[in-house]
Amino acid sequence: MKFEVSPSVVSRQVGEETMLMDLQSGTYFGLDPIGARVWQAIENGEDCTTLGAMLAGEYDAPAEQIDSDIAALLDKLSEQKLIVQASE
Amino acid sequence: MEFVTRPPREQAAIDSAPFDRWLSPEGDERSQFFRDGRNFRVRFLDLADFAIDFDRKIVTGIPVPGLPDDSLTHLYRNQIVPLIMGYDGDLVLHASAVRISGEAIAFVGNSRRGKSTLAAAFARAGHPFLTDDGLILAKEEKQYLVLPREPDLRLCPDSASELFGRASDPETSSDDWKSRIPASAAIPHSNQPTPLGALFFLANPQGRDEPSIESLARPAAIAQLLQHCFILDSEDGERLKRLFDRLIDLSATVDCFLLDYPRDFSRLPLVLDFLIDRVERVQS
Repeated sequence: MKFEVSPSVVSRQVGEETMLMDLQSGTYFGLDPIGARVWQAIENGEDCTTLGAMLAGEYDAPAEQIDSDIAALLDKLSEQKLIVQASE
Repeated sequence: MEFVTRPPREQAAIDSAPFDRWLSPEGDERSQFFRDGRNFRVRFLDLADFAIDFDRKIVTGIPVPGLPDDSLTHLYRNQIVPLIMGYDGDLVLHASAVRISGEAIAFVGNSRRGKSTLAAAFARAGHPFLTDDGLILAKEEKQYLVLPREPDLRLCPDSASELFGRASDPETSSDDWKSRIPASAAIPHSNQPTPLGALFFLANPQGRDEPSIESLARPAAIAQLLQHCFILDSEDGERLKRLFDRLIDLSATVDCFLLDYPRDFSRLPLVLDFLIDRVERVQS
């Protein structure tokens, strides 16, 4: 499944975190380095479900855990309306 | 910019919904923001209405009946002017600031969090206050300067009474209206732009007997700063982006802390000593 960044959201690197701000609602959200990679994938129009295997290798973590974490992050970002499903 | 006042009148209902609101720490609505064809309109509930034309050339203030004369002017200077300055690109926070050994520390918080009481207590102890609210920051090379503002403090009746022995003025005895305390030899004010050393965000009181501070990581500091900026138009995306970038820079330049302290007037000297000690240790 592909997602898009909501039009009113801006992101900025702040130290090791990526900060997101929804200019319309004033909501702000911080992403850790793994979250930032997911965000970058969304910004680049990539399918986030393929990220899991790559990140599992980089972070030496079980792929299932990474997949679960990515899914949870995508749910949270959607809930906060920071991302929307990409139009096909 | 011209400030025009109109005769007092009750606050009639406004047809449109506000596009933004300021809330008290308890969640009560204190201010509402509207937009009509030619103006921003800011309503301070049960106090006054202001209209700011889009060119920011004229501000019209209308008090509610019974509002003390200087309260309308104070709202204009300490709330409306900072909102306009923020809209025009200045960095303005809901904060008071005092000067300690040539450096400013600021207390950031919404109305009735204690920032004016802290500023007053420091001033009474000989550390001049720079501003009571509407903290204006100017970037100069690698530091931020606090620009001094009005040499007046506005305190809730209990603070005015405890700190300065001021009896409640019958005209200002409502909890919503504050007592004006002008600067004096005993309550010094500094008119020198002063480098900002630290920002202390006033936490919800946790019932502590002793003051404590917690260093804020940059993302948390930025989140706090966003909540405490004077923002006239919260729907203007380009202005918000520029503000966001400025706050990111501010958080990288100035140490930010969460401050919790006992909300007990008898413990204020302890709070002052705690903060002064911290400032002097960092400076040495």
